[in-house]
Amino acid sequence: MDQPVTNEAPVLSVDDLSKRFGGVQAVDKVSLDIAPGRITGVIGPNGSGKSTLFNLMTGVARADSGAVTFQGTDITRLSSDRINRLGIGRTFQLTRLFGKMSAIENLVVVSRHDRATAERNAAELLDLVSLGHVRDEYAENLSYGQQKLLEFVRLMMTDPSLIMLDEPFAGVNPIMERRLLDTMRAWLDAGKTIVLTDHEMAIMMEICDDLYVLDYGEVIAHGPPAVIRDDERVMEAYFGR
Amino acid sequence: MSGVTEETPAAELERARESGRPVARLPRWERHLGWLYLVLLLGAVAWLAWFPRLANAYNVTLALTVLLVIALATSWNILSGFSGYTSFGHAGFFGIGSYVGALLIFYERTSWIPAVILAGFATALIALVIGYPTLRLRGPYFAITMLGLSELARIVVTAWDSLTLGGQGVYLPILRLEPPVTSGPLIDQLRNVVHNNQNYYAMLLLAVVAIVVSYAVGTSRFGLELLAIRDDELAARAMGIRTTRIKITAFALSSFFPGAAGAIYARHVGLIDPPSVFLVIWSIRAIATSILGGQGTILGPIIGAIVLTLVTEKVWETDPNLYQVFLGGLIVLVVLFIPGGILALLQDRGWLPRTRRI
Repeated sequence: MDQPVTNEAPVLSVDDLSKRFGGVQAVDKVSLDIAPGRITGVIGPNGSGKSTLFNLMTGVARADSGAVTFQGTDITRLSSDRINRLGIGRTFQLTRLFGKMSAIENLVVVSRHDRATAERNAAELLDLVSLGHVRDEYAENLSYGQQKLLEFVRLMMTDPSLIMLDEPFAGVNPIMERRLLDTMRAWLDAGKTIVLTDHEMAIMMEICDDLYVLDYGEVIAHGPPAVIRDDERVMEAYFGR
Repeated sequence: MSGVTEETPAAELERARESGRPVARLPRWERHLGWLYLVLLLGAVAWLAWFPRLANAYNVTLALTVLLVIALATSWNILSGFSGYTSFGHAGFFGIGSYVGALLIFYERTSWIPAVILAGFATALIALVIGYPTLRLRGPYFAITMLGLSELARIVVTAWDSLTLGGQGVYLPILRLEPPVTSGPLIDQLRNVVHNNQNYYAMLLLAVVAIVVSYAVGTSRFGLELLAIRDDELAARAMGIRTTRIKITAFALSSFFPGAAGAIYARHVGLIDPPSVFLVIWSIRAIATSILGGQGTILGPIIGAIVLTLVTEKVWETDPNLYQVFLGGLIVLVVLFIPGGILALLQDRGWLPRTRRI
């Protein structure tokens, strides 16, 4: 346990990060390293602090203490727009699209290129995920699966080097799950790093290179899937209660 | 993959088939809609420019009021309609602008055109300064704060009588009218009409500039960023949109117009005092007009301004007491039954092309 997956320097490090909401210690002195070019998973039962940890790492929430370092830059206190501009993109547990904007506008609005390039990139991305025929439809009118895909490609518009996916497989059917996995593989091939959470153990075991297990806001186990599978504390956290 | 069931792929296929339904894609000719509206705008401006030649003083003043409300509602819409940050600050900016303009003319003998422009820049500057703290407040908190700051501005202007002459108000020199010229060279006739209706033409120009700015914002990526803030500000930030900068820019742009309009209004009425220009009704009119016409659109506030001003004027003529009841009742009915405003109603009926951009 606790051996690094690679010898390369981590793209992102979390050191002793803590966050308390009223009487609840949502994240408790969490430390983790994200290896470049890999899929790192954060798993844990519902309410174990996965989403809060994601929010702290992306500037959506402020940490009480601890530090987040991305490619050598301390991003702990930066606002979420600045963190995104440094190269960290994320999705949300419940899709957060711009509902009263068309599918293509949802992409164009986040692009950092000029309007013409942005529209061309957006149209290409929509075609890539077979959403070309709904480009002018309001995002809120799309089906759940289409919204998930749209959120995925919106992420690609800003070309982040580190991609954080909060429960991407929740409520997704097997066909869509395949499409999301294919997209993630393409990202890895393009040299990107992925962090994701999910409580679906089976899929996380299959796709992650490295796993952190959270329970009550604490890291209770860390290692490659094969090690986590046999960890007693993990089994206890999941099935013991 | 675990947990695979056989029904779900079928359900997804069904959804995919469903999504193959006709989509609200813009027909090709609508790409040229901007040009059509430009021609309409130019036509309307030409007609309005000629209007004082045809109408009596009462109707010119009524038209001036319509143009004033167009400028107020269209500019209010730039921040509040597009981004969803409802502001009750327009009354405050209107009051400050009318005082800045009036005092520049009163003390400095500034000629009125620079006074109007300076009044606009003064209120835009104030918006830049107060926008940074206030635009961090969400929804109703921002609305209430702007209402409070508007009141604060009124109290400061009233109390600071060494500068503002306080409650006694500021008198402005009356425009000396020339006798009407109805014959001779057209250019002389025009010059004569323009001279005798300076405030009207100033308001016309201001309304046109407000519409042009609103169009530029509404069709640009800046406009899309404002809409993204309205739909989901947290996600917009997380996607790298610089929400604070964008909101403040929109606020300053939006606040220029009530300031300049206030200065023109001061010159038009000739006497201003705090209760008459720091009237919360100016904010309410801008808001009600945008809601009636369709907020977050370019055409909506223009349609709303024309309809609401003309209808309320008729009601006012009939019974001044009924007027406020009518205004309140109308807003309630619109919000309840046509939340998208008149524009959405026309689009639903197919009388106007459905394009949110305009």
